[in-house]
Amino acid sequence: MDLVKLEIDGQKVIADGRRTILEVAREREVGTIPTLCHDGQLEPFSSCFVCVVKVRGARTLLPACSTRIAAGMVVETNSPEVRRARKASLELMLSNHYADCIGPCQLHCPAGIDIQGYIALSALGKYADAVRLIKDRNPLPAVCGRVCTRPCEVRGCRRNLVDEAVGIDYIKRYLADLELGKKEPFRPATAPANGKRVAVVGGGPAGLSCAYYLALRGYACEIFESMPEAGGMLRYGIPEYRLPKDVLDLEISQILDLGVKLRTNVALGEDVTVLGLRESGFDAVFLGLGAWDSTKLRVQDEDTPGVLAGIDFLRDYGLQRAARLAGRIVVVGGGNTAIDCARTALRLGASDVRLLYRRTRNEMPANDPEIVEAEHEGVQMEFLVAPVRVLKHDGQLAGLECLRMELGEPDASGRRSPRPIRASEFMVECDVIIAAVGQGTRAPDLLSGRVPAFLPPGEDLSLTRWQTIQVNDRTFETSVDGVFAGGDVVTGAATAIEAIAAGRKAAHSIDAFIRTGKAKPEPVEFNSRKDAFRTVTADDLRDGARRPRRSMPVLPVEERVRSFAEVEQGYSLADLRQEAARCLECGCLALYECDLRRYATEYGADIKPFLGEATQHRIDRRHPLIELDPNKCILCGACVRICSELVGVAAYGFVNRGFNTVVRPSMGGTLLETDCVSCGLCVSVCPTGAIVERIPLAKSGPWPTTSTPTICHYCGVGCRLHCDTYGDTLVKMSRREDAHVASGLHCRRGRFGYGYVHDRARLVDGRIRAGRELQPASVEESIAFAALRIKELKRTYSGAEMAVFVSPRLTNEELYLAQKFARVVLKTHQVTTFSRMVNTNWDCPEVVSTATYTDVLDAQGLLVVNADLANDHFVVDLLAKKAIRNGARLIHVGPTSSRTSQFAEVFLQCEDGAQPLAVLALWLEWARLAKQPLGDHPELERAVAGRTAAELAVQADLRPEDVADAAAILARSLVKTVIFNKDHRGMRVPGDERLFARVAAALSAPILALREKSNMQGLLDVGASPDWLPGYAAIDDAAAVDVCEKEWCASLADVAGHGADISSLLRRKQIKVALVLGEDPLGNPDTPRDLVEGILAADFLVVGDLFLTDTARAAHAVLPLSAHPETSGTLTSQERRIQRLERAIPPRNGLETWQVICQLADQMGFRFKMKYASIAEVTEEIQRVIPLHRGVEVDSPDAAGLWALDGRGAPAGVFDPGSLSSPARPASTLALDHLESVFARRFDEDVERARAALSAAEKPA
Amino acid sequence: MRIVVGLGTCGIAAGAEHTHRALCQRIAAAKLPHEVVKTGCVGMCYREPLVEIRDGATSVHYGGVSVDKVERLVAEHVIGGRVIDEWVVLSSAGPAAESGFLARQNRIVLRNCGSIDPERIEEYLAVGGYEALRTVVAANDAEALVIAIIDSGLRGRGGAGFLTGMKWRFTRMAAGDRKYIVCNADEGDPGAFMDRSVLESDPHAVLEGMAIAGFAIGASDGYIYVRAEYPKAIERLAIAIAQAEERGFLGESVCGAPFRFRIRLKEGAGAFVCGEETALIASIEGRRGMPRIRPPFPATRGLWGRPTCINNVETLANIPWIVNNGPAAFSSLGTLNSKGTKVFAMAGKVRRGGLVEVPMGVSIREIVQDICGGIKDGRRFKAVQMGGPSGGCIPAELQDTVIDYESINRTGAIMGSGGLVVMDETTCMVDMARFFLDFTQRESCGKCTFCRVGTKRMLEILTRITEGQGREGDIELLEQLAALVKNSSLCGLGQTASNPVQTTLKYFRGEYEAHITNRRCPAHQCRKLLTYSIAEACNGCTACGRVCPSGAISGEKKQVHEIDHSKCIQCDECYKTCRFDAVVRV
Repeated sequence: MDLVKLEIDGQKVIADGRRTILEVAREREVGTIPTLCHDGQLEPFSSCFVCVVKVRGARTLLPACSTRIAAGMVVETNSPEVRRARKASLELMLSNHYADCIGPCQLHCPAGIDIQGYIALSALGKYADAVRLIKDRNPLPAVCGRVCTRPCEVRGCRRNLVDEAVGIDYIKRYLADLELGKKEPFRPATAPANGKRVAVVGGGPAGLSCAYYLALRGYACEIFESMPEAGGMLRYGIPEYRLPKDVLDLEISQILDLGVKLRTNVALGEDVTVLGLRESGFDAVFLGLGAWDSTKLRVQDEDTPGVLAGIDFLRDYGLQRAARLAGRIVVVGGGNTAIDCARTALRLGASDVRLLYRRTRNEMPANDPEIVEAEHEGVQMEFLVAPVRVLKHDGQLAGLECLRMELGEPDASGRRSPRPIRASEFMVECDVIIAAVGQGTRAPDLLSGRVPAFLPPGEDLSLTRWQTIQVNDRTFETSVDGVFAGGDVVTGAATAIEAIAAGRKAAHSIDAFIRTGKAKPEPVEFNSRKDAFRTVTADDLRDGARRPRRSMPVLPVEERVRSFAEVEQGYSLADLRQEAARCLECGCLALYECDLRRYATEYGADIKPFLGEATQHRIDRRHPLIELDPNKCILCGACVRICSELVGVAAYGFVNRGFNTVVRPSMGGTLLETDCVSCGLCVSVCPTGAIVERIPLAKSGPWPTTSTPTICHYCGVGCRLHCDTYGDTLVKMSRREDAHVASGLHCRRGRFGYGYVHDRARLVDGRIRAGRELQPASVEESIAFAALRIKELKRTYSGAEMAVFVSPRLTNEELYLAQKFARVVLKTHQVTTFSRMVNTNWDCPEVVSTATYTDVLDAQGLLVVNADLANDHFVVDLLAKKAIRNGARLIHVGPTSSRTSQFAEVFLQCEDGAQPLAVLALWLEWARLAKQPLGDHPELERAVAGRTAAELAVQADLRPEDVADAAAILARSLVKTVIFNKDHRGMRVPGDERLFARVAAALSAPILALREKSNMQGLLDVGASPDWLPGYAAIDDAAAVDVCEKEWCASLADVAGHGADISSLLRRKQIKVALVLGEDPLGNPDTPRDLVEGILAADFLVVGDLFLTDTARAAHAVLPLSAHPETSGTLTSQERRIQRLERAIPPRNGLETWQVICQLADQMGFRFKMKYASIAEVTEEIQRVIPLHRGVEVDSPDAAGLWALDGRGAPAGVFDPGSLSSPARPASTLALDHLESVFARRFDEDVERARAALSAAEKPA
Repeated sequence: MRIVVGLGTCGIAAGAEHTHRALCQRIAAAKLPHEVVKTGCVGMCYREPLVEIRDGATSVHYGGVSVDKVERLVAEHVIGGRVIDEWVVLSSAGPAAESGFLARQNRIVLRNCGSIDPERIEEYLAVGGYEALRTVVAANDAEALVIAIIDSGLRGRGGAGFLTGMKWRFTRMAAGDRKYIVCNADEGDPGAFMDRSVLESDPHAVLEGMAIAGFAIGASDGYIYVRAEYPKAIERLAIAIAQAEERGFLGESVCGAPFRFRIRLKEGAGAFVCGEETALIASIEGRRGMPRIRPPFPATRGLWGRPTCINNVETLANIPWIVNNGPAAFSSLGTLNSKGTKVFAMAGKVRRGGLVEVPMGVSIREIVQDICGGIKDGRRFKAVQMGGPSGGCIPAELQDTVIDYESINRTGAIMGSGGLVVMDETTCMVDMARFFLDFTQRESCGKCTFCRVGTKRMLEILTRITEGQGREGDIELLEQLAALVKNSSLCGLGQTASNPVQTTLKYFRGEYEAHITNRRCPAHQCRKLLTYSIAEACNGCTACGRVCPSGAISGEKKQVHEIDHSKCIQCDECYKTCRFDAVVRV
């Protein structure tokens, strides 16, 4: 290693001179270097130029990902120059990124609610989670679900291009109502009280929202409300038939429940002043005063009694002051207030309600559904009419003189302005006139000087020319220090949702102001928008099928006009489901993982500066698991490179040149037509949403997920993954990057094989056999039943007649508890797995890996025997290929060609079953070349039995010169590793693993013994065998027995079944009580018939599983187990690495598997011996009992995470040369536990279906 | 008497094959003893087809010898012995029409071009061919050879101008049991054809140069990466390689010594970027031609991961001469830091377009005005674009700039591979920059963001300027993008893509401003900015009216026509059609 000293952002660093600036900076956590094209598993590429840094003395900025460090280098990673260049790079990429980050619905929502997210959660039935998501941005969903003007639907929803907008607001109302109806509705977690106080003046939507989001952050908020109750315009401006007051009350009470204080009948300027609030110790003041002043009609005799202001009319009604109304009413105006007044008047008893508006229906600012309902109810509307004069008769209101209008040219707002038609005056007779032509704020009154000492001395509250309070539009600061304002008092009369958004944003700003002394706007995420490139048309949409919107059920007109009952009745569940399904999912699935968006936000990039032509591609959804959207591709080539360099498949390639360069599946077709193995690594490395996983959920979000580290539970490789969850929903599995050599790698099973967790067929409760039938029972009932029966049978049968069968996919803790249950509770050593029993001849538990993946990577020579790495241990295949790229040479011994053999330098394609002969020949030839004596290895010599290498080769159907070539490679490689699959299912010789291990030892090469199942190593280690105690301690090892007895508080003296041959017991039908956890011997066609019959012969069979498997169907009691993401514990990989998985979601059955075992023991009377408060206690006990586990750093990516070999392990077996002549085929054990066969079948079916669809589409119509 | 016909691609394009066939038939028919032989290009591409008649020590070159002139040529000169003075372009007897073209040239690289038959190794041997290789192999001192090349001061003629001998030394010193020498014959600059001409006219010189280089660095394999668009060059290289192998100049034992050297041809598929070293290597290896970052340089990790020396055709063609004549002879030519000669491909508005080889240190003025006879049609010299799309323009005011790497770099242009496009006052500099950027933009491999998207955006800006849609601030945006693209691209293509824009902005900023502010193209080239009108010279032939697609031209027969500007779509058809120069573009 060549160490060099350099400086990064002023920090001195010493590092290996062969490394790049990026690697060193990341490892040492100095500087800030973003990158889009670099991946730890790949060679530097340097295409994105986002990672540029300034190196002193260099002519230009340099890409950190490929620039090696050098002595004396001075690097700046975050200077303005560097940031400018990064921003420009991002902006150039974004100028050709025809894509939406979030749906236009969310973009148009003033509060920015994650609409696609909550609709997707609704589609999954996750209603509580959906409400939680809404409340991140809006604390009044039930209110908004009723009164919102829905810019999301009207302007945002792309469904408008197909038929009608999705009923976004109605869905929200359904969810919010459901939550309101709960005994314990969602209450967000609040930060601990921080001792700071904020005064919120005005209890309307802005004030309530501000108080809510401040309370979440730990502030003590006090709302000062001038009216008798909080709610502002929501209460006093919106009539009951649109927003029932109890709904408002409930949502307000939820806000107050967070500790917000409400003081009503306290008016600013009368009871309190800004100065007063500041003096009484508030750290900040928020003014959400609303717009309560009515605009005058500005006509003659306007002050005649009987001429009312719209907003006053509604308020009086809200205050229950409005009397019944009779006679003819005229409402002037075209906004929502006018409609509200008209409809309220109707309900108060008016005989005739006319609404006059000076433009036409098209220009009416009121919501269309409101206008329609008003018309239904009998409000007569007259358009192009303007009032001129109030007519009096004897001082009494007699009517309104009006003028007819016509529409002129569009004005600044785009609306065509009305012009009076000369001499068109006419009279409208009426008894009451309600003027609803606009609202203003009362701020000027407060500042008129009428209120003494209103503001702190020397400070001035600035107003706009519309007499609203002037604020900084991002921070909501007014001109008075520490005073913020939002809502109608700032904007003039606007919508509830805008006020709510303002309140929330002000809360963020106030929080920053109080903590740092400087108000800071709520961060704005970068959003790419298709609309910025061109207008989106119906052709661009995911689904063009017309499916009309579900209409909102309304109260019949006759029922509503005489009452204030709520008109809109709300969606049914069926409506909700249908409506949710109509969502076109415009937003990007990679929203929360996209590095491009993250950096664009961080560097303040914009789409606009370089906007020009953008390439546009069709989205490819033809692969069942992977969706390709080349529009989002930034040409980093990570997918191309990982697929060709690492996987060796080259399913992707760059096509075209220059600006038109694009990444496509090779040969331009679909991924299905390439050699794609669906490992999903391209999805993992894609920094944007160009390659995403097609999530197998009804709607796939995206949601802001939480990542929980886990270990893949398919094969023995032990890939480190993340479970990505939202709330209780497992959304997907993703790559986990850390220091391990296989970091970030996985195969298709690990990445895509989690669908079973959501499976409807999952066992979520137990089953109890009643006669011929299995009856559903609760988990507790089935445990109790199983315990009762076993307890009874214990009186009849001894431990020797009982057995526990465990799956090698269970965790160490589960396996340990299962064997402890057997030994302590059942008093039997008879605990094992069918995986070992079906192939007893081939079972060599003492052969364990002595190599790690690092040994594979570092090897110069690799000998692979009996292993189809690409199919069975994909990640080891990737590592082997990586080693080959680094110069390693690979020899493959086996009967059939595979991807591994294709990459081999020498492929010794021997006769099936003759692999041991080939290996022996190789050893002989190697020994000759390396001048090694044969005599040191008598066991191998015996197996050779005097034959020459050439003779052995010929016997194995090999050409001797090929063997010689292979031996020469081994002889020239200083560092070698031997790899074989312990669970190889081709023709084999019993005990062949021992032979391979001995040959490896003779070659001084460590072995990597591959396992088919994720925790077979752990199963053996923790003592799930009648032959040894945990940690391979002999059952008569007094010291070990002593440790166990003390730890378990139980005597092992009377435990039966030491060294028992459980398979022969089964064959003889001598097992009377059997507990099977996670295995399905009946469902596996390869399980020997007599073993199946042995199990069926048990008097009592208890099966624990995720599904009602064939074995479970035959059981007397069935216990539901927890799925992997629902389980915590550890797994031991084929490397001997002990790795932790954490529970990511709660078990659907309510209990984790380890708890099921403990409860079973508890019910059998072992209330304390198997009682654990947490899984950690079990792990600790294992470490105390098993010396192998002691000192192992669980989950460590390096050597500390392995259990140490040093001579420990089971006693070594001896290879019997006689067996060489009798190869046979071991039975498959894959179907022994349900998961793999289910996944494999589903995967095949999905791919088959996709191919069929493809060929159907290609056929000429 | 020998009758020599120039059959380079330039000659063939002008019909030289027909001339050759006619000459053969005519000579055969007349049962004359004279040989009709082929040769490559002498450089006077503007007068092709060229026929040289050699008789003992005298030589006469005839220019523009089309098939119809063959009869007279044979009758008068070959049979009659009378020189046809009006066709002579060069003559050993004394001054001729084009004597000036060769007079100031100094031909090292082009020494055999246009004089020997490239398909016959005997002719190459007859002029001392492979002597240099024999000398080198016999001396068996690779280090001395490398030092000689360093001493000669030869710099890479591909464009960057790195000292060739140093490149050899790095590759020679790099660890590795197998090394490669690659000849970069992926000549891609629009307007450049020096390499093609050398490969077509004197392929053995390149092979010999490669073998010498291979000997120097310890390589036993060479690749010639040649564009598939050069079929004649490929054909003649293949013939030359076969002949050289047959004669033992290539193969298991070069010149009988224990030195194994083989050369393979690799045809490039026409990607400009494959002229870049690392992309070229990727392409030979069978991958997409995409550059990678350097270091590691090919000298340490090149083809198949092994040390590789990549030299340009012209560089290699210099090598035998240097070995034969000594480094001092070479370094006596040129300037302080730029030694030897440089070949230029002259194109554009110059009177004599073709290949010229001049010693370093002559000025642009000498090349354009003296050797190439100045600007065509008596127009005014405006600028030259040097170095193709990677280069920049040098305005006429700087025509006294001398040809050497440093002087050229100071102007903002680059020496480049030798493409020299001459422009007169009818060339719009904005359009010229747009043309070159359009080329680089299309040819970008698409890897680096700035090169892929940045050049596209620059092109869009230039296009809108030339179309009269330029905006306030466009010049500044161009400058900003140009700097970004230059600084943030991995390879030469991106790093130099901005040069045409930056140099035109530097020297002709006024033209940009005129386009944007006044919506006028001072060179009257940008059609969208032109106003067409018909002058008094119109004789009413009605031709313009008939070609006008938008019906904008009206007028009676034999009357002056008129253009309705509201209908005119600036298609330029009337201008091109009018034979009386009556259509005026303003």
